[in-house]
Amino acid sequence: MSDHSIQGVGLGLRSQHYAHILEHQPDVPWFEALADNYLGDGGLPLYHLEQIRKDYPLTFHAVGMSLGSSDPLDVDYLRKLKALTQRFESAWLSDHLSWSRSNGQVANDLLPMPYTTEAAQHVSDRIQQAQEVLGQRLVIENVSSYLSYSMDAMTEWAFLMEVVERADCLILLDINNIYVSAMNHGFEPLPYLEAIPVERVVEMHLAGYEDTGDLLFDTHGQAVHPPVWALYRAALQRFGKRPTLIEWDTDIPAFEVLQHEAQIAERHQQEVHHAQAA
Amino acid sequence: MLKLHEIQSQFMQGLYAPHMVNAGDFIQARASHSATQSLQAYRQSLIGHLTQALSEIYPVCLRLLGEIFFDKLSLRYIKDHPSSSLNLHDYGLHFADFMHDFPPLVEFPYLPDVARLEWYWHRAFHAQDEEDLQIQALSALKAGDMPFLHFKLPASAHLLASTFPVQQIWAANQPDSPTHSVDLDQGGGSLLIWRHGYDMRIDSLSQEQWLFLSAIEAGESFSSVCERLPQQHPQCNPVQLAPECVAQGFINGFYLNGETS
Repeated sequence: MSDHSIQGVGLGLRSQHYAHILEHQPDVPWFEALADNYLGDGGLPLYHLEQIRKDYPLTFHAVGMSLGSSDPLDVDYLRKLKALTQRFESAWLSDHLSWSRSNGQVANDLLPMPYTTEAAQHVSDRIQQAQEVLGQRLVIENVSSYLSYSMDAMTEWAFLMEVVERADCLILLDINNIYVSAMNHGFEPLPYLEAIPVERVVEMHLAGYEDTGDLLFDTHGQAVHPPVWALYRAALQRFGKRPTLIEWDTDIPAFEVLQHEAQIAERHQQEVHHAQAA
Repeated sequence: MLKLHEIQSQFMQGLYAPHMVNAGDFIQARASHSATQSLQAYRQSLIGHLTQALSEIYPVCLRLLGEIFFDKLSLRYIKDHPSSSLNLHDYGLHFADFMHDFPPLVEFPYLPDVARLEWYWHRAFHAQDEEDLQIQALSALKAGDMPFLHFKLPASAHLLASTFPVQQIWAANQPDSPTHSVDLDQGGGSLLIWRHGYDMRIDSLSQEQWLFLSAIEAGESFSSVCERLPQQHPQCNPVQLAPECVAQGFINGFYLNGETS
């Protein structure tokens, strides 16, 4: 999947910034909207999104597919997502390599998968089923994790590769999540990047984590940390200039703060590009 | 080795009822964290997400109770009402009933109705967009249609009757409210919480409007309402109330024999 309308460094669209965007029409190449916020039947969220879509390309990012769950897929949810992506002509739709539901109970969070062959087969089958309902290839994001399962039989990146190859889906590589998981589990992040096939990566995410002393948490509530910027440069060297998104979900700051983060990302893109060209 | 279904069942149980599982059966202990502590990190994260969702839907209850009490109340609610929807906007449906049955809140009997108002506001905010009903559309009806005529309320509309002045309590606890005190002895009333276009509304209803709209909401045909209501409540005149409610947007559609117009 390659949509040329999505280039450069975009921003995660948050309701706190609707008024600023509509009034000032800031120079942002694209926005990524959280699909789950627009699944209502109507109202102001959809109205604002329509207004913003008139001026900006859009991608959708979902959190509710629960692709790794052993519960049945929620086909109604997928159909709503399909209608949303068609209505707003989004360039692509992404969700996470995680699970959220078991026996009808839901943890509205991104729970990690056990890294086993059984789990990889299960989640890749589900991604294929979801792709059939959605009528499009999915873009799958790696999540942060704070624990390991007793039965883990492979690395996170080996699991990711097995899933995407079997499901023939695309990858949204969250650089912050790689760093957070690397620090929490004590692995080197560079071999992770080196294992990911270049052609499957269509987007990268950047965000800030929270350091509680014994764990890093993917809270999206701070500026991107220096070691994540360093890992982003390594990712740019491997994958080239990929559409990149700045995410910020808690303690959401003024729009200009997000733009400043995007400018830093753009500067890294240019520097890495020039260094490679030299 | 545990299968995926078993792992996820135990994990989920560990999030909502941690004393029911042995985390060491499926989570690796680490030097810095026991298996139980690792699971607890996810439990805290989940509680944080659900509490945040409740605080966004119930900001007035949060303001009235204070953050510390609200967080404790939310924790008890989460324990009794695990999330069952992948969409966080669906979480919190039973919060008002839970508050009603929560003994420490017995001194604050108005809070459940304030919570009901906030839930209805939340649902109306995300409800389907609809047009007003043009009264001329009714002129297309034939005389023979009248026994089958049913009116309908906007999809966003919710009726709420309370013995407490919940509208005033709600208004006094908005961020930009000029007043923060409400006389609880002033009594309650009947409200319609709904959305007119993109304009969120809380309308105070007369007793006659309340009776009429309640019958419409219950699916009673207009002819039945016209016959029954004046007998039970002589002050009610549905023939007068219908155009009045259409003009205010409280009624925005009609159907015959169950077919929506």
